[in-house]
Amino acid sequence: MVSYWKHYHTPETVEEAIAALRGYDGRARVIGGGTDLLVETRRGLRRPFEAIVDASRIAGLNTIERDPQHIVIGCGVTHTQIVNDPNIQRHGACLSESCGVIGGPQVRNAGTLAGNVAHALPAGDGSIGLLALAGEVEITSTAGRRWVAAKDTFVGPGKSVIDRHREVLTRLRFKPTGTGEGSAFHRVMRPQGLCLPIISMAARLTVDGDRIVAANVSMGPVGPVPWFAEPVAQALIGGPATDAQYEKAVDVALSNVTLRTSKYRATEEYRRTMVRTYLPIILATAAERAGAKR
Amino acid sequence: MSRLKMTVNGVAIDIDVPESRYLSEVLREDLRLTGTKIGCAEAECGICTVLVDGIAVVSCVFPAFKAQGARVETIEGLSNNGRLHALQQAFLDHGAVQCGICTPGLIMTAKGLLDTKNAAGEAVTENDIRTALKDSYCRCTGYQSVINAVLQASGEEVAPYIPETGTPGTAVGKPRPNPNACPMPGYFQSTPRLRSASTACTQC
Ligand SMILES: Cc1cc2nc3c(=O)[nH]c(=O)nc-3n(C[C@H](O)[C@H](O)[C@H](O)COP(=O)(O)OP(=O)(O)OC[C@H]3O[C@@H](n4cnc5c(N)ncnc54)[C@H](O)[C@@H]3O)c2cc1C
Ligand code: FES
Ligand code: FES
Repeated sequence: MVSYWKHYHTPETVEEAIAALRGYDGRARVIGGGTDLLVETRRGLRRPFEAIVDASRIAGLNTIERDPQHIVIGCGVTHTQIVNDPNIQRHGACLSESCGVIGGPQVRNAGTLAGNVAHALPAGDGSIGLLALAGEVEITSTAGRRWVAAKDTFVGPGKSVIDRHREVLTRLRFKPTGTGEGSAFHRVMRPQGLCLPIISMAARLTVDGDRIVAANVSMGPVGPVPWFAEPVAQALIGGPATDAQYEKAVDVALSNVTLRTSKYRATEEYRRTMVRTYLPIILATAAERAGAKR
Repeated sequence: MSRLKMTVNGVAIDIDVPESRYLSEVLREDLRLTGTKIGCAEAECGICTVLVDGIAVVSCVFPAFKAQGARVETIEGLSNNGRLHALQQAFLDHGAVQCGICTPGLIMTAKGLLDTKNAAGEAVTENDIRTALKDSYCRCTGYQSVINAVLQASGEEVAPYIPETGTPGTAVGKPRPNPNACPMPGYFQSTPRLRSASTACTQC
C-alpha cells in the first residue's frame, strides 16, 4: 500500500490544529473531507505530505449557527449538512443548491464547503454559491483570526491566500436573505462525476417592487478564479426585474469573461450559449424568490 | 504505526496500523473484510461505500484515522446468524445482483438511507432511493431491480420485474422501425442513412 502521508492528526481545538501545523513548518497539509486533495494525491498529482491535519473534527466547528447578522458555517460542516439545513434552504438558497450538486451523496457526506473554498478552483460549485451571497471566511493562523471576503481569497486556479500548510479556514458566513431578497444557482455539467462544471452561476437579488436595488452575481469557470461579477451586478441594479434587463446583464457578462474551449468539457461557443440560456433563468428565479412584482 | 480504535460491525477493534491507511485498506487488508470492494479508487463509483457512524462514505479515499473512535458498518455485518438482512433478501428476490461487485456498496448506501429514515420516523420514497443511489454505479442490472429491491426492504410490496419473453424458438421482442433508416428500397430498414457524399446514394 502506497503511503501518501506519514502522520495523521485529528485536532479537537483550533489551537491544537495550528500548533500541529506549526510543528511541521510547512510540511503538513490541512484537509476537511479529503475528497479533493486525497483524490488528487492518489492520482499522483501531488507529492505525498509529511502530515495531514484533519480540520473536520474540531469541537464547535461542525455546526451551522446564527449570529445577529449572519449564518455561520463551521469548517467541519459537510455539504449534506448544508443541503439539509432549513435555514440555508430559505435564506441562502443558492448555497444550498450549489452544495447539492457536488459529487454524489457519499462525497457530499464527507466533503466540506471550507474545502471547496480553500481549494480555490475556478468553478468550485460551493464557492460560486457562497460568492453570490457575498460570503466571508475566517482564517486562523498563529497571528490570530481574520475575516476576509471569500472573493478575495482566490488568487489563481487552485491558489488561495489561505496558506493551507499553516493556516486553517475555520468558519464561513454570509448575511441571510430576508424580505425582498432571493438567490438562485444553476450549473451545466456533463454527467461525469469527478470533473468540473461547464458553467456554474449564481445570483442574489434585492428587489423593491419591480426594481432591482441590489445584486451579486458569480460565475465560473470564466477565468483563473471564481468570478464575483461586479459589472454584471452593476448592469442589473436600478433596472426593472424583467427579461430585457437580464438580457443586458448577459451581454455585460459575455463581454467581460474569457470562456475557453476545453478538450473534454465544452467549446467556448457552447459555454457562451449556456450563459445566455441560464443566466436569465437564474436571475428570474432569484427575483421571483425575492418577491419581485412582474 | 499508531493505534486505531473503532467498532466494526459491532466488534471493538484496536489495531496498530500506519497512519497513512485508507479505511478501505484497513478493512480489506488488515481486517480481511474483503466484502467491501474497490472499483475506481477515486471517490467516483460508490462501490467501496461503508457506513461511518451511520453515514455513507466512500472508503477508498476516506483516511482510516478519520474513523478513529467511530462505528463502522460493512456488508459483512448485515446478516444475523445466517439470516439475511432485509436488503440482502430483497436484492436476491429482485435479481438485483448480477456480477455483484457493486452490490456491497449499493446495499450499504441503501442501508444508510433506510436507517436514517427509520430513525426520523419517515417513509422512504422511490425518489429518496434514486437520490441516495445517484452516482453509485452498476454496469449490469440497469438499476430498476436495485430500486425495487430497496423499496421492498423499506417495507413496500414490489413485484419482481420479470422481462417479457416469447415462445421458445421464436424471435424475442418486436422489431422497431429505425428512424434513421434509409428510406430507399433495397436497403435494409436498419441500415443508417449514409452520410458521406462518396458512399451515399443519390436520394440520401
Ligand atoms: C467524485 C467527485 C465529484 C466531485 N464533484 C464536484 C462538483 O461537482 N463540484 C465541485 O465543486 N467539487 C466537486 N468535487 C470536489 C470536492 O468534493 C469538493 O470540492 C469538496 O467541497 C471538497 O471539500 P473537502 O472538505 O473534501 O476538501 P479537501 O479535499 O479536504 O481539501 C480541499 C483543499 O482545501 C484545503 N482545505 C480543506 N479544508 C481546509 C480548512 N479548513 N482550512 C484550510 N484549508 C483547507 C486542503 O488543503 C485542500 O487544498 C468532487 C469530488 C469527487 C471525488
Ligand atoms: S472505489 Fe471508492 S468510489 Fe469507486
Ligand atoms: S451487478 Fe455488476 S456492476 Fe452491478
